[in-house]
Amino acid sequence: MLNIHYLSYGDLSSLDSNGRVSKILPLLRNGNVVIIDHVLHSKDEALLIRETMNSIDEDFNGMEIGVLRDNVGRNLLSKLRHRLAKYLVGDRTGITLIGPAKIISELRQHPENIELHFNREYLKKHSAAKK
Amino acid sequence: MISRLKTMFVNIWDSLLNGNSSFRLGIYGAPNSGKTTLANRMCKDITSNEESSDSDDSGSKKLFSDISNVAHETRKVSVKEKLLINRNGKKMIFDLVDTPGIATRIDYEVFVKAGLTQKEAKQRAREATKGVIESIKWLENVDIVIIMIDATKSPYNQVNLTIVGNLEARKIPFMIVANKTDLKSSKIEKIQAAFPKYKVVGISAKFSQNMDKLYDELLVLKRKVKR
Repeated sequence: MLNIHYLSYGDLSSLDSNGRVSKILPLLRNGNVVIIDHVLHSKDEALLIRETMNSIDEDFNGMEIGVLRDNVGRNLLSKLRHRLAKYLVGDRTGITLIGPAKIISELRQHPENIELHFNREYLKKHSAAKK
Repeated sequence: MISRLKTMFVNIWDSLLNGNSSFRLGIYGAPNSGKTTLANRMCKDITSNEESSDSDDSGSKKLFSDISNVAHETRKVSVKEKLLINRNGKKMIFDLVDTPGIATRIDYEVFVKAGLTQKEAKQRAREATKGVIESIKWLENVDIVIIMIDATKSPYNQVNLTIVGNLEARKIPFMIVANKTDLKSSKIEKIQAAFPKYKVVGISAKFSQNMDKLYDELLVLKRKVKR
């Protein structure tokens, strides 16, 4: 079984950097793929990498992270919409995908999409264990 | 002795002329992008340009750690102080900081596959995690950064983007260097397309290709250092 956990801007915006990382990291350690409906601040990302390294052990070997930024169109309406979103929530429009490295064998990031390659052996083993 | 006096004199003279002449240059990037190869190359180039107080008996500049194809060969931040580069009469004095590669996952089994014993692999993994933490902490201590990207790989790696974002937020001047351009599979245009706001300098640190361009760009960045 694969668990996907969704975190909205509202779930994280009231927290400070440490709070945000403290919310995300246990989800990863528990084997959840996390989808965040916005882009994390780069300082939060650095803190998340640091704390991920701090918590690496036999059961947790890190994470894969990818970000898809909102593609700003060339037309005026699209640019205005992007500026408005930027004004309201900062330059955070986009989505963030984070998964435990044991489950996500590879994350390939492209300008307009993200490929998640799952570790089939891990998923097979865990779905067999559940049965 | 004479070279030490010369370095000291140049330091004083340069700091009198430009208060910001001395700076700390960090080399950042993902594992195996060629950070230590570049650091070693710069040390060799500096030896050929200038005499330095940090030379060994043979006159060669002491180098950074070994390089290898196994990821996380560099697991500690290392610094070479007071390096001096002379470019067409313009001098740069800087401390060169070689950092461990920043990664989001570290799996000791990868090191086992590369030929290490279980014990060695686990030890290397432990050291590698500490190295990543140290690299991130050192972002607070550098004035200019070179972001090394392996030009044979996709530049859309979140580690590269996180480093760029952090440097932008901290207002630290940086340049993006696409390394391994000697390899046929390198695609510098892809790196440039991924970072359209920034100038990308393509080099081969291993074969010392286009290093002049890198040093020229470093001179430009030096002017942006805020003290």
